[in-house]
Amino acid sequence: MKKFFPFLIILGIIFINPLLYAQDTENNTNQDLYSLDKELEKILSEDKKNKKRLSINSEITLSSNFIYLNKDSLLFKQKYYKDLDKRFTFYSEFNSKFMLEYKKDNNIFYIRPNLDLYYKEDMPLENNFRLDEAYILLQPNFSYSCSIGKKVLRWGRGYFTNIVSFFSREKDINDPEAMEEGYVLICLDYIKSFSNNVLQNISFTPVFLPIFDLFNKDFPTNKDLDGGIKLYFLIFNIDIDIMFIEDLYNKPAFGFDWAYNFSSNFETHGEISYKNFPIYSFQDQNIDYKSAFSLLLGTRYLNAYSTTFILEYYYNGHGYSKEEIKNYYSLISEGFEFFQETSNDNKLKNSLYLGKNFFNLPLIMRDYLYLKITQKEPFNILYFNPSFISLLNLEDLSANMSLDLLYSPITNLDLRFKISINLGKRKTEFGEKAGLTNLYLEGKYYF
Amino acid sequence: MYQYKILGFLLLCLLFSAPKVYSLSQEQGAKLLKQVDRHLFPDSYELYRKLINIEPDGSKREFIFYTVRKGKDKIASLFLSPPSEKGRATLRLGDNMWLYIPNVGRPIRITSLQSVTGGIFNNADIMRLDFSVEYNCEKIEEKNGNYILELKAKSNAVAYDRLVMVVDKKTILPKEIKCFAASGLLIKTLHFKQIKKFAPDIVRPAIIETDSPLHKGYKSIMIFLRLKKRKFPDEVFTFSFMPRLNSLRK
Repeated sequence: MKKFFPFLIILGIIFINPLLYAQDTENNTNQDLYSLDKELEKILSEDKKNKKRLSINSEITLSSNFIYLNKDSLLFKQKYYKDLDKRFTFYSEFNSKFMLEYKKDNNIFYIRPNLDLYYKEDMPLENNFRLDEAYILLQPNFSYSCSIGKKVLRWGRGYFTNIVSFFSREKDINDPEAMEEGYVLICLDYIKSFSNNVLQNISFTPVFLPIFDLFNKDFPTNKDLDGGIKLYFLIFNIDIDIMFIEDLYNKPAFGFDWAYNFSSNFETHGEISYKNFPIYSFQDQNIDYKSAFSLLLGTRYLNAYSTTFILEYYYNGHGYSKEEIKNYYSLISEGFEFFQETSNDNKLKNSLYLGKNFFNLPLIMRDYLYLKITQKEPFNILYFNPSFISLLNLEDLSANMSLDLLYSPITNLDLRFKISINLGKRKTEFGEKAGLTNLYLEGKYYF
Repeated sequence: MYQYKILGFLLLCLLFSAPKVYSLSQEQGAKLLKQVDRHLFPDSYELYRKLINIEPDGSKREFIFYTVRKGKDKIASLFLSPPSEKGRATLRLGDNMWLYIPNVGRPIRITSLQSVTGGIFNNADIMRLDFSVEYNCEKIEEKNGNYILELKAKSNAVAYDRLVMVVDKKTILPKEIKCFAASGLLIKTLHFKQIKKFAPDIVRPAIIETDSPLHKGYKSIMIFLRLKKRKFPDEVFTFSFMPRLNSLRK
């Protein structure tokens, strides 16, 4: 019962909200909307509140994840080799985020702490407090600005992943719009506009990222001070960025991206990167560093029925081939058989180490196709936006498919129900995932 | 004979009571359209607005924006309320439009047909450029103390293919605008109400109500407050400045 408690809270929110909704309706029908003086008074008082120097925004999220396990998959055997009868796993999370902004003249101090409480079955409650962002933004004028502190610096134009975002962490491909944790850096920005139809504006953004014991220790560089720049152009109505970082996995990296609207409802974008990256070589039984190009091409289309299509192709220049992945799966298979014969799990643990650092990560192979189709308010159900999402591995033809239902019954409340399934043959990326089906329920409230 | 006199008298009455329709030239129409634009908005301004989406059962959702504009084709808006939308910003630079969501951390390109708020108003309505920038005046008539302008979009990038605008002859302010698709389908009607004096030289409707035959029973209302002239450098209307729009508010 205890483990389903968060689940019940979310269900409670779903059923309570019609009552709140009814109250909201009753109050509103009696209001005189055309009384400008009343509206003016309301808005002025709200505006005074908004214009205060200190502004606080918060969100709390309650979520539950129920995973039905794939007992035939190798990653299931790798993870649950001591508990092969296990059929499902469950965990819940409570998350709260605060966004505090203090403004004085043109300068801003911003802080975003993040608190997580995890409950996983048969485990004690875990908590994690983190300062995701904390920085000062100095603006001597509108053209120049300087940010100092911990900040998320997201570069790139892709939706489900970005390959040119050199100063940020990897995106969560299951939730590309989730807020992230930043790095401590100094970021300058210079903007210049032009009055012509060819080059409309440019910006120049140099970045400095120091590495100390206290922070940025996980940034992939051996230097004490890493740096890079981004140049942005709006030229012939095309967004263009050129990026550079001095040291990423021991070598400089380069990036280029663009975005353009062919028509008012048809957009195209892309990213190209050339960078170094660690890969595991089964041949040498060692970690090699490989420099390679990667590519992301995407498009966004909105039709007359308010259906949005996002289609992206991703080529991972550091991705493993089918044969290399099969080597990894063979390692797990041999380790599992060895454990069953001898009760010695050393080989399995070795495979777990490789999995954690190389092979169990997202997007590890070479060619992917991502598709997201979102329908705005189908059947005239207001504030209901369902999406179909598919991530297809084009090499081994395995896929992850999801149905994501997002509903906002009242202002500031988002309810999400997502079901996803991994499909694929044996020894394919999604076919060997430990989870077969994932049920996810989330309630998020903003205040 | 007597009957003919009465008939003639009645015909004369009918003639003088019928609405008089005069056609004007397209040049006059273009000039009038520019006047309408300037009467609605100064060349460079900041503005606070409230958008209310009303559903058939009377329930509503409200959004508060802060908007800045410069010249013919530069406009940026920042959501101030509700908390779920706070911090989102949109920027329009000519035919280019972007949306910035704080969670995502960088602006993305969007289309004018989308709506960041839901409801009947779409991005083109919220981030509207001057009518004279997007439309040509094809026909203009004078009728019942109003000008009736028929406007045609200059390009396919514009949200509505045709507009029929009713402009008050005395104030040169719109009273109603019907928006049509290329197929002739009526998409929505904007009703301009409650003339308010925002500044000595800014007198304009404070309320725009919108209804649509495509969304029967639904209504959206935009309320204009605090419209003030203010100058901005061009750099404010750039992709890179979007995360910092809140710093403009004093």
